[in-house]
Amino acid sequence: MNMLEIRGLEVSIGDTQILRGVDLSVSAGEIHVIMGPNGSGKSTLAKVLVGHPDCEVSSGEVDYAGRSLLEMDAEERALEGVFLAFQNPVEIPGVGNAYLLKAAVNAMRRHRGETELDAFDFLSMVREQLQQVGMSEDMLKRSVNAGFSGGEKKRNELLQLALLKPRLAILDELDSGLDIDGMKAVCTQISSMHTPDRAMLLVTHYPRMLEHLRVDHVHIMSGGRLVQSGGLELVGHLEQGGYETFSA
Amino acid sequence: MSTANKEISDLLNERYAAGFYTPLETDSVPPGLSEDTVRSISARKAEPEWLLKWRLRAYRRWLEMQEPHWAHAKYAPIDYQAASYYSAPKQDKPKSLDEVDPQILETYEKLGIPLRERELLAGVAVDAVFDSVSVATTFKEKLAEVGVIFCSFSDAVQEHPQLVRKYLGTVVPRGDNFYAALNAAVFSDGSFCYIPPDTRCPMELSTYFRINAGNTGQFERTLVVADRGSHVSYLEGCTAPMRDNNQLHAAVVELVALEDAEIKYSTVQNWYPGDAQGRGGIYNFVTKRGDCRGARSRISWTQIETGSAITWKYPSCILRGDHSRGAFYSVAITNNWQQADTGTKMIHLGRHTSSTIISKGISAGHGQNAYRGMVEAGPRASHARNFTQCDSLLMGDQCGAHTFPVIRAGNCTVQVEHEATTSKISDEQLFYCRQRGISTEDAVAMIVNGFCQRVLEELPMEFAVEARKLLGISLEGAIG
Amino acid sequence: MHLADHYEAHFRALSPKWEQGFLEQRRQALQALLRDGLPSRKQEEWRFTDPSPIVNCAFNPVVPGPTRTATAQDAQAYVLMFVDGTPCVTQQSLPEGVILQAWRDSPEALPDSVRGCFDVAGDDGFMLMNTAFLAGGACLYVPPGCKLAAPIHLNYQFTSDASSRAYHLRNILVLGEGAEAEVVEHYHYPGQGTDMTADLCNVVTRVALAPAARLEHCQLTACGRVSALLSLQAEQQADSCYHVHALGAGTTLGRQAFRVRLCGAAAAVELDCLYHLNSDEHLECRMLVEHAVPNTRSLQLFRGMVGGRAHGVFNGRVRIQQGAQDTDARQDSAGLLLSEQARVDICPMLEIYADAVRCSHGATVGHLDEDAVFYMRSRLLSRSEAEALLRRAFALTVLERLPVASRALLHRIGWEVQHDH
Repeated sequence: MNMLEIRGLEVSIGDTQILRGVDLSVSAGEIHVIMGPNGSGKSTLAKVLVGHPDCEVSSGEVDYAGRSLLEMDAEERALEGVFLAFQNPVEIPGVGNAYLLKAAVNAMRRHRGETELDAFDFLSMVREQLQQVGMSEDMLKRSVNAGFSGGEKKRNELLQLALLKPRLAILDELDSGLDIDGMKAVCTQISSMHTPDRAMLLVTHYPRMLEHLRVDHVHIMSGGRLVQSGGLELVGHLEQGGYETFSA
Repeated sequence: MSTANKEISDLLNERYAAGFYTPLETDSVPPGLSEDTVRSISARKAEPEWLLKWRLRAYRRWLEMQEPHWAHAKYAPIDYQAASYYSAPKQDKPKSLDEVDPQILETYEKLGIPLRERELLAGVAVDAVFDSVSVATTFKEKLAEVGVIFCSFSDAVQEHPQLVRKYLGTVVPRGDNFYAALNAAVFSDGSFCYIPPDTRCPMELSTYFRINAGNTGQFERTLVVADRGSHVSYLEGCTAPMRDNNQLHAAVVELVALEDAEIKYSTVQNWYPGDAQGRGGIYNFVTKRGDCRGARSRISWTQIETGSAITWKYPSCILRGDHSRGAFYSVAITNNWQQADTGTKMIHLGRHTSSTIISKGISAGHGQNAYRGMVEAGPRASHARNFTQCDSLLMGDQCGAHTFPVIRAGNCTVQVEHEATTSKISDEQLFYCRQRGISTEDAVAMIVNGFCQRVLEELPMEFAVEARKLLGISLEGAIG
Repeated sequence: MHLADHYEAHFRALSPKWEQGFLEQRRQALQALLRDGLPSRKQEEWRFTDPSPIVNCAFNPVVPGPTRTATAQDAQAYVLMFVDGTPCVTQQSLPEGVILQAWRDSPEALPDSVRGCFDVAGDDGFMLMNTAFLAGGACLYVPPGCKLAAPIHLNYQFTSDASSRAYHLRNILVLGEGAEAEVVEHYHYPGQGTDMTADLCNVVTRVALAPAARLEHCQLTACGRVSALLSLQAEQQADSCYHVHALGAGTTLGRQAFRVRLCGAAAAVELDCLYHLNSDEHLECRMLVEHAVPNTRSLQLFRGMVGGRAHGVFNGRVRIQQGAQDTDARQDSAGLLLSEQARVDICPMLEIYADAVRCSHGATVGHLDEDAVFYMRSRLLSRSEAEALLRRAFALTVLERLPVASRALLHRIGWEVQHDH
C-alpha cells in the first residue's frame, strides 16, 4: 500500500487557486522530487500536506497511512510523522532553540507512548545529531532561527528532521541559499536519513542537487498540476529545454 | 481575529482561581474618611502620639492634593467617602498560629500559602495580611535568633518604635503623592523587617496580602531596612475575591539599604483583574521606592503584574550611595479591559552608580499597557550608567502598548542606553511549532515564557513557579 | 503695562494695515490668546523648555514693508528672500504652474489646496499669537506631476539690531500629485556682536503632500541670541515621501516641533534632526508622527551635541492608531555630552494601538569615546583634532542623508554645522 496517495487535489490561497488537480502516490522508502518554475505550486503542495491554515482545499483527497490526512489538524499530522522542512523557517525570538527541540521531541515521545526525555538524556541525544548536521552546540542556546544565516536555518531544519524521525519528510527548497559545500552536506545528510520505512518528498528547482541523491521519481509541476512524471532522465530534458517544454 | 489571537485570548481567559470569598465576622469602621477615621484607626492599634500626629499631618496634606490623572488609564471618579478604611476579622489578636481562626488558615491554604507550622514552606517566612491586619507571621522566633526582625507593622510600632520612627517616611515622605499621603493617613498594617549588620537573612521573607471584605480598601505599609553589609530577599503576593465593584489598594513600600547591603524585592501581583467586560477589579495604586543610602548598596525590584483592573506603580531606586546599584525587572500583563501604567525611576545621585531596567509588557484583549520610566543622573552623579530594555508583546488588534521613557543626563560622564521593541505572536510562529507536534497552547506558553524569561529568572525559585503558572506557561527546561 | 493690554494695543494699531479677509481669524486668535494666555512650564508640553523668558517679554510684532525686487544671487536655486520679514523677489523663470511668492501678495490667486493650509492645528498660545499677528511668509505650490530641477531656497535674513521685535511667520508648502521638490528653509540672524537678545522668531510651516508627492525639506536655523519657536505641521497622502533635515546651530531659547500625520497607505516620513549647542543655549526638538492608516512608515533620527552649560532636549513620539496595521516606525536618538555642565534630556515615546506593527526605538546618551581619542592621539593627532573628528562622525549620521542639491546649496551659502569648535 502507498504511504501517501493524493487524488485530484485543488487548493486556493486567498482568492487565488494554486493547485488545479494534483495526483501523486508515494511509497515507503522512495525519494520523490517535485520540480517546477516559481509560482507553479510546489510550495503550496508542501504546505497543504502539513495543514497550513492559509491553504484552502476546495476538492480532492489525501490518504496517509490509511487515514484521511486532510481531516487531521496540524499537530496531529506532525505527531503521525509528517514533517516539513520549511523553505523560510520563521524566527521565534526569546524561545531557546533547545527548548523548542525538547518540547517537540517529548510531544512526539508522548504520542508514541514512550517516556519523555529529561534534560540530560535529551542533551546527549542532541549532541550526537549536532555533529551530523554540522551545527555547533551554541546554536542550541540561541533563539529559534533568530539571526540565523540561511545555511544555519537549513541545518536547524535538518537537525529537527533527524530528531523527530518522521515517516514522510517533505523538504521545501532545502537547497536554496546554500553554497556547493553546504548543498553536498545537506545531500549527505538526506541520504543518511533515507531508510526503507521513510518516504521523502523533495521540492526544488535546482537540478544539480539531484546528482548527489538516489532519486526514484521526478515530477514536473506547472500551472498547479504535475504535468510529467518519470525518472532522473527528466532532469536532463529540463537542463536542455527549460520548463517551457513541459508546460501544461 | 486571527487564529493565533483567538487561541491566545482563550488561554488568557482562564478563570481567576483566587476569586473566592471567606465569610467572616468583621470589625470595620463605617465608610467615610475624616480626621475621626484616622484617629479611630490609630486608637484601634493603640499607637503612640507621634504616629497619630504623623498620620494627621498626612491627612491634612492629602486634603490639599489633587488626584493624579497623568497615567495612561481611564476610569470613573473614585468616591473616597464610599469605602471603609478599616476591616479586620473579629477576633482578639491571636498570640500564636494555633489561635488563628481556622477559616482564615483555610483561606490561605486554598491560596497555596500554608501557615500551620507543620505544613510551612521550608525556607520561607510569611506575614499574612488579611484585609486591614496582619493575622500571622511565621518563623518569627527562628529569625529572631540571628537578630532579624520580621513582624507586622503594628507589632513593630509597639515593639521596635525607635527603628520605625527612625526610618518611617524617610524614603516615601507622607506627602509624596496623592496615594502615598492617603496611605500615610489611614494605613492599617503591613510588614516590617530589619536585618542587622553583616547578616544574611537565613530564609526568604514574604508577605501575602489578601483583600477579603467588600466595600473596603487595603492600605498597608511595608518597611524593609537592611543594615550595613546585610542581605535579604523579600517576596510579596496578593489576591482578592471577584466582585463587580472596584476596590482600592493604595500601599506604600519603603526600602532602605545601608552600606554594602542588598535587598531583593519581588512581587507577584494577582489582584482580581475584573471580568471580561471590565466590571470590577482592584485599583492598584502603589508607591514603592528604595533608597540605596549607603555606598555599594544594591536594591532590585522584580515584579510580575498579572492582576488588577488598573495598575499604577513605579518601584523606584534612589541611588544615593557611591557605587550603588538599582534594578527593575518587570512583566506586566493586561488582558480584557485591564490597564497598567507601570515602570520605574532610577535617580542617580552618587558617583559610579548603575541601574538596569528590563520591562516586558504583554497586551491582549482590550488591555492597555504603558511603560513609564525615568532615568536621571544629576551633575554630581559622575560615571552613572543605565541600561534599559523595554519590550512589548501585542496579542490582538484592540489592545495597546505604550512606552514613555525619560532620560535626563546632567553631566558628561553619564552613559545611558535605552532600547525598545514591539512584537506579536505571528500565525507563522504558531504554525511552525504545531508542525513540530507542539500544541498551540504550549506554543503560546513557550513564546510568552521566552519573552519574559529575562525577568522570570530574577525571581526566587519559590515564586518563579507560581509566576510561571500565572503566565499560563510551563517551566522552561534547564537547557539553553 | 499689563501684557494683555500691550498685545491688545498692538492689535488695534496694526489692524488697519492688514488685509481685511483674514482679519476675523486674527481677532478670534487674539481673543483666545487673551483668554487662555501663553504656556507655562507647568504644562506637560513645556516641561523641558521654560517659556517664561518669552512669555514675560512685551514683544513688538513686526509689520513688514511692501515686497521689493532684488537681483538674483544664486543661479542654481529658486530663491525667495525675506529681509527682516520684507519679501525680496528676484526675477526667475519657474516651471509652468509653480507658485513661489510671499503669500501676502495676491492671496486670492492661490489654489484652494494652498488656501486650505492657513488653518493650523493646536491652540498653543504661541500658535494663537502667530495667527493674530501674522506678518507674512512664503508659499510654494508645485502642480501635479511637476518635478523641480533646482532646490527652492526660502531665505530669511534678519539684520536690524532693534530689540524686542517679534516675527510671526507662516510658510505653506503644497505639492500636487506626483510632484517633487527640494526646499531649504533658512533662518539666519547675525552672530556675535549684535544684541538682539530679546527678539522672537515664531514660525509655523504647513506642508501638504498629495499622493505620490516627494519633498526633501531642509530646515536651517542659526538664531543666535534670539528665541526661536519653529513649528512644522505636515499631512501626507498615499505613497507620498517626506524627508526633513533639521539642522540647528545655537539658540538661546529654541523649540522646534514637528507634527506629521500619515493619512494615506504607503506614505513615508523621515525626520532627521541635528543640532549643536554651546554656552547657555537651550533647544528642544519635538516630533510627533501619527500613523492614521495601515501600511505607513516613519523614522525619527535625532543627534544632539551639547557643550558649555547648554541644555538639549529630544521629545519624540510615535502614535499608531487603531487599525493602522503594518506600520513600520523607528526612533533613533542619541545625545552627546561635550562638557561637564551640559545637559541632555531624551524622551522617545511610543503609543501603539495596533498589533501588526514593527516598532523600535533606541536612545543613547554618552560622551566622546576616550579610547578613540587616545588611539588617534597615539597616531599623532592633537586632542582637539581627535575630538573634532569624533564630533563630525557623530553628526555625519544626519549630514550624509542630505540630498545632493541641498548639500550644494548649503555649501554655497557657507553653512557649517559647528562640529569643530
